[in-house]
Amino acid sequence: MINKDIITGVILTGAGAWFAWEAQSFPTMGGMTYGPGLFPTIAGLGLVLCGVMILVTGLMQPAVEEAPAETGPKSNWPLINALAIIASVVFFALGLDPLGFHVVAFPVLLVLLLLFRIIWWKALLLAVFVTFLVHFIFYSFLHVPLPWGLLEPIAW
Amino acid sequence: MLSDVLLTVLAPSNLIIIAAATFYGCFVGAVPGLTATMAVALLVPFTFFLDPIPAISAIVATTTTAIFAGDISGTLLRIPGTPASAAYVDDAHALSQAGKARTSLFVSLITAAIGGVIGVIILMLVAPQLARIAISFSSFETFWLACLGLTCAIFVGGGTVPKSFASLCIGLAIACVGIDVAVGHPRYTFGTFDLLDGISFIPAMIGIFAFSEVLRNVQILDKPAETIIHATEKVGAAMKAALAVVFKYPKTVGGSSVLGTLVGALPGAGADIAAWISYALTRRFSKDPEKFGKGSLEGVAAGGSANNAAIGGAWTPALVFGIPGDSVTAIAIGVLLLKGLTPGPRIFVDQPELTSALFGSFLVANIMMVPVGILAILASTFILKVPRAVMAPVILLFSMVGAFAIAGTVTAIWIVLALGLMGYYMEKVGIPLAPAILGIVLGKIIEDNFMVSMIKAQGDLSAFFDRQYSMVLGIITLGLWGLLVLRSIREISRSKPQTEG
Repeated sequence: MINKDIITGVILTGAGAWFAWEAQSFPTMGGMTYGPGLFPTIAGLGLVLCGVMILVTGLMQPAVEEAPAETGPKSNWPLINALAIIASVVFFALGLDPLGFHVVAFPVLLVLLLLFRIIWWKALLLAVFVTFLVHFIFYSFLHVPLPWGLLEPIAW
Repeated sequence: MLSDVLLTVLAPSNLIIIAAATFYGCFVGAVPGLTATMAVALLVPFTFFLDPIPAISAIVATTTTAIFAGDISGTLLRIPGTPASAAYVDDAHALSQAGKARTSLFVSLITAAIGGVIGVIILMLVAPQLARIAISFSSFETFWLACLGLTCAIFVGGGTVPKSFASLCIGLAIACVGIDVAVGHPRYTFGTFDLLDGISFIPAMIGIFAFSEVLRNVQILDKPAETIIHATEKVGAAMKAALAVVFKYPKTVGGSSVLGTLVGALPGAGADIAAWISYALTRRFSKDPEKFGKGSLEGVAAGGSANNAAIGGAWTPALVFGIPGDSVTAIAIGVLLLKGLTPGPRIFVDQPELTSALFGSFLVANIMMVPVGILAILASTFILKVPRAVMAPVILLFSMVGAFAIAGTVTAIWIVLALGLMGYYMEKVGIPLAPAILGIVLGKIIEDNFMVSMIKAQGDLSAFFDRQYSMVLGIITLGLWGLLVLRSIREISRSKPQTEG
C-alpha cells in the first residue's frame, strides 16, 4: 500500500508546475513587472512548494498498512455506487440540453434507486414523484428554464 | 426607521421563509452525513429568487437549526449530524443510554438558542463599531485584511501546514480562472465561453459540499443500520430537568457563548472548532471534569451554546470586511454579491436599515428554532429512519438542477462534478477544505486590490506599508507568516522520531 501523501504530493507538484508555466505566457501590464501572470504564478509555485513538502514527509513516513477494518471479503459495492453517481452526473450534463430535463432526471433517479436496492415499485414511485417535485419547484415556482428537449411538443 | 425594520423582519412572508428554513435545517442537520454547509449550498438556488433580507434570513435560519439538529443524531445514534456536534457526542450519547435522551436534547436546544442570541447581540454591538474604522480603508488595507483572513484560515483550519497551505493555493488557483482584472486577459478558460467569468462560486460550493457528500454516503450503504435509542422520558419532566441544568451552569453557557462567538469570527474557524475549544476549556475549569466524555450535561451545554454562538461570530468579519468567517458565510457573501450588494463597511452607512433588518432576522431565527426544535426532538425517531439509499439520488438531482438554475448553463454541472471530485479527494487525504473556500472568495479580492494599489503606487511595493492601518495590518500578517514557518519546521522535526520508532 503506497502512502497517500506521496501520490498527493506528486499531483500537487505537477498541477502547480503546469499552472505556473502556463502563467508565463500571459501579457504584463504596461511598464510594470506585475500583470495577469503574477497571481497564477504565486499560486502555482505555492502548490509546487507544498507538493514537494507533502511528498518529502510522505517518503519519510513508512508505508502504513491500511488498518483491516473490514473483515471478510472486500465488497465492490462502494466503488460501483460511487462510479454510478459520477456516471449519472456525466449523463445528466450531456443529456440535459438535447434530451430535456424529464428524460434524463427520471432514468437517473430510477437506476440509482434500483442500484441502491430499493424495491422496484417504491423506486418507480419515488423517481416519478421526485422528477415532478423538481419540475414543480424549479420550473413552475422559481421559473428556471429547465430544457424540455424531446418533450418540447407537450411542454406546458 | 425602527418601524420600517420591524415591518421587514416581522412581515408574514419573511416569517414564513424563516419557519420553512428552520424545518429544512432541522431535517438536514439531523440526518447523519449531511452538513449545515451542504444544507446552505443546496438552499442557495432558492434564495436566488428572494429579496436580500429574506434570502439571508433563510440562510441564517437554516444554519442555526442545522447546527442544533446535529445533536439529535449525535444523541440517539452517536453519529454527529454535523461536524459541530462531534465535540460532545460521547456525552450526549451516554446520557441517552442512561435514559436521559430528551433531557440532553432539550439542554442542547436551550443552550443553542441562548448561544445564538448572545452571538447575534455581540455582532450587533461590535460590527457597526468595526465598520466605522473600516470605512477609511483603501485598497491597501483591504489587500492586507484579505491576506490576514487567508493566513488565519491556515492557522486554525486543522491539518498540517503544508496541507493547509496547499488547500489555500488550490483556492487561489481556482480564483485565477477567467478574465483577469488588470488587462482583461483570459486565463485557463480553454476557450470555453462560460469560463470567462471565472468558475461560478455557487456551483463550486454545491460540488465541494453536496456532491462530495453524496459520493461518501453511497459508499457506506452496505453498513448495517445503527440502532436508534428510543426516548421514553416524559417530555415535561425532561424539559424541567433541562432548564435546571441551564440555571445550574449559567457561567458555562455564557462563557462558552462569548468564546464561541470569538472563535467563529476568526476566518477559517467555524462552529465545529468553537465547540471543541469551549468543551475543552469547560472541562478544565469544571468542578467534576471526570464526568466529561461519560455523560456530562455541562459538556453538552458548553458545546451546544458555543457552536451556535459561532454562527453569529462568523458574520462579523463577513459583514464588516467582506471576509467570511466560515464556509457558510462564504456562500452567503456569494449570494449577496449575486444580488448586487457588496458586503463591507459601506453597507452599514449606506443601508443601515438592511443591517438592522439582518440582525432582527437573526434573532427571529434563533427564537423560531425553539418550537421547531421541540417538534424535531419529539419526531426524531422518524427523521433518523429516512434511508441513505433514498436521500443520495434525491440530493444529487437537487445539486445538479440547483447549479444549473443559478448559472443557467450546463457548464455549472461540470463544475459541480469537477470540484466535487476534488473536494472528495482533498477530504480523503487530509487536506482541509476551509482554506480553499476562503482562497476562492478572497483570491479575487486580493488580486483586485493588489493591482489597483500597484497602479496607484506605480509599482512601488513599499506603498503597502505607508498608511497607518495598512502598516499595522501588514506587520500582523507578516508576523503570522513567520509563526507558520516556525510551526511547519516543528511539524517536520516531530514527524522524524515517528519514522525511527
